[in-house]
Amino acid sequence: MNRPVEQESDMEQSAQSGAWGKRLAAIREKNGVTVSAVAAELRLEPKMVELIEAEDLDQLPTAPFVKGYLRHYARMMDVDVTPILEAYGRVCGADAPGLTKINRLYESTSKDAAPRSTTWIIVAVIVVSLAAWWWTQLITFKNAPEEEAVVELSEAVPATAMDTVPVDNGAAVNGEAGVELLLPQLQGSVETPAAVSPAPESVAVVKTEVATPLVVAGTSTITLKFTQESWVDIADATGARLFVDLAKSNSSQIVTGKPPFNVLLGNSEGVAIEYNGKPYDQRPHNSKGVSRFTLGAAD
Amino acid sequence: MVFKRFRGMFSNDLSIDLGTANTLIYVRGQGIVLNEPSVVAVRQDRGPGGPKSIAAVGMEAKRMIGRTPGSIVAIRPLKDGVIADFTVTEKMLQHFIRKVHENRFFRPSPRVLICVPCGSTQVERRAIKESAAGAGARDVYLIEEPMAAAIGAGMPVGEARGSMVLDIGGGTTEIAVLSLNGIVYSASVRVGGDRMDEAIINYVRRNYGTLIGETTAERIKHEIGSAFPGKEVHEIEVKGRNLSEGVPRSFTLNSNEILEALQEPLSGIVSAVRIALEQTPPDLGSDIAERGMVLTGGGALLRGLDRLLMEETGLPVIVAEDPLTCVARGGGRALEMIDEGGAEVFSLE
Repeated sequence: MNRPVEQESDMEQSAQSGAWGKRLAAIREKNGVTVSAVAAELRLEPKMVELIEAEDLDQLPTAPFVKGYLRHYARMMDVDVTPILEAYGRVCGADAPGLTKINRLYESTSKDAAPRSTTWIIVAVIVVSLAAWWWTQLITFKNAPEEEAVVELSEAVPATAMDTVPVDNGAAVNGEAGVELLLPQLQGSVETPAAVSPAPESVAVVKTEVATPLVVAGTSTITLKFTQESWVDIADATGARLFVDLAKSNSSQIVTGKPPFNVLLGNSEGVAIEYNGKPYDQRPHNSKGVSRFTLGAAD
Repeated sequence: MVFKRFRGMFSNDLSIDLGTANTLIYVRGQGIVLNEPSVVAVRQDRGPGGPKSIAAVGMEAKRMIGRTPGSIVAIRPLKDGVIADFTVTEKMLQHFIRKVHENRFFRPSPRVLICVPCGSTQVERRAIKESAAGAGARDVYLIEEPMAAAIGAGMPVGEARGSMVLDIGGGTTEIAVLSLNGIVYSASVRVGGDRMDEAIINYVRRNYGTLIGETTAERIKHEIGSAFPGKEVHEIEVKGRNLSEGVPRSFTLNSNEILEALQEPLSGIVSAVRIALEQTPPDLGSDIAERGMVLTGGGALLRGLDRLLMEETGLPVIVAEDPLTCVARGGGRALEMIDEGGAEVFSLE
């Protein structure tokens, strides 16, 4: 059943393989030309002509050379070289890469899908990164006051080593985290009767048994007790403004920093000051209810 | 630098055959995308010393050669294969690179491989490199023209076997013997298509007392030019200015006359080939004698040139397929080879 098909393919193969070298050999024989005459005309060795006629692809040189020989051979035999080259091209199979005709230039425009999608991707990336940056900035800004409060309290803790640290409700609310963190460190030495004893006012008093103040070397502490509302501005020797706020009545504030301090107290009659645990009389500096003075200048 | 690299992602690697007559650009994966004459028309407004601007580049500019008004000069910025006018070459390259990347969103910044004549000096090579960098190239590689031509022609340059290539361009003819991806011998003679055109102009003036232009001479060369007497004699009718009468006259030229006219440049090429064969080491010489030499470049299209060289040298001479684009295609393949095996595959600069 398969025989006719096989025969056909065999014939096709023989036709293909015999389409260049053998075809030229047949034409040469028909014209009565010898191999050596062809070799002399083509400036080739007779062996090379024989290889071409035998279609021996293994021993023949690479395609560009063979194509050149075939062109000369066909020209000598006065036959059309195109079918011969086509037949050789089918079997050599190595001439395809690179030998392209001049292509038309593909004219891409900015409306094409590739540049457009690239543009949108770049825009999206920029927008997302901007949003991410804004979000991180926002979170940092929100966390900042809390962190500052903790730092303030942690700085204030050495001051608890002094006789009494009155803590007002407002401060307790603000610095809850700080109190929770720091109190355990003082458990051994700090009594907290404030929670037990009923305070007549909202002022809670923390008593400590620590005798020596835990003042960090080179720093001093100012304790402010407000019986009336007052505005306060305290800057230390480095020029850093340690406390700038409107203090409520019946509250207190501990400020630690490097002396000397520049202190401004508004409505100073309602403020009692302790400097490193010792009461300080600020009345001489009072001028129309506002006190301006320097603390710790002698230190 | 980073931005240049980023732009490079949107650019194609290019191989440029910056020839005296034509500039060809090969783009990886696309083939030859540009084949235009290396001509730039420069407009100078407001008389000498006024501001200069580019009026046209390439094909459009070539049509202007010999037909320009006083304010426009059509310049061929390359002479004898090397840059004669640096600024204009840079502008021309810029125009061609942009044309290849036409309407892209980003200004292109491609890697560029440029083919240079093997006889060019370091200064000339540097000028070409700077020119390409000035035209926006990210990296510039230089490859010698015969090497690119041999790769483009499909010659086995990587084998330990001598291959001889003769690349006849517009300004120069390059001869090289190659083996193991390197050049064993190379020579460059400043004889090419332009010298053939000049020879035709001189012949016509001498024998017909008529002056013809470069464009006409080139047309005569393309249509009936031959290097070896053939069986058929072709004829062409040409118009030129008769020198004695001072008016245009038409006359007929035949291929044998052009063969006679071209004797001088052709003998220059033949003697260069002879010298190359003398200088080639004997083992490589025997390889060349067995397989033959390959002709590339526009000059290879001159009818009967292979026949002439066969007669003169006694070696097989083969014209490469599509000889005009061999150098550009070979450069493109060299770029691929650089990606595959690194820049040290060839003696690139």
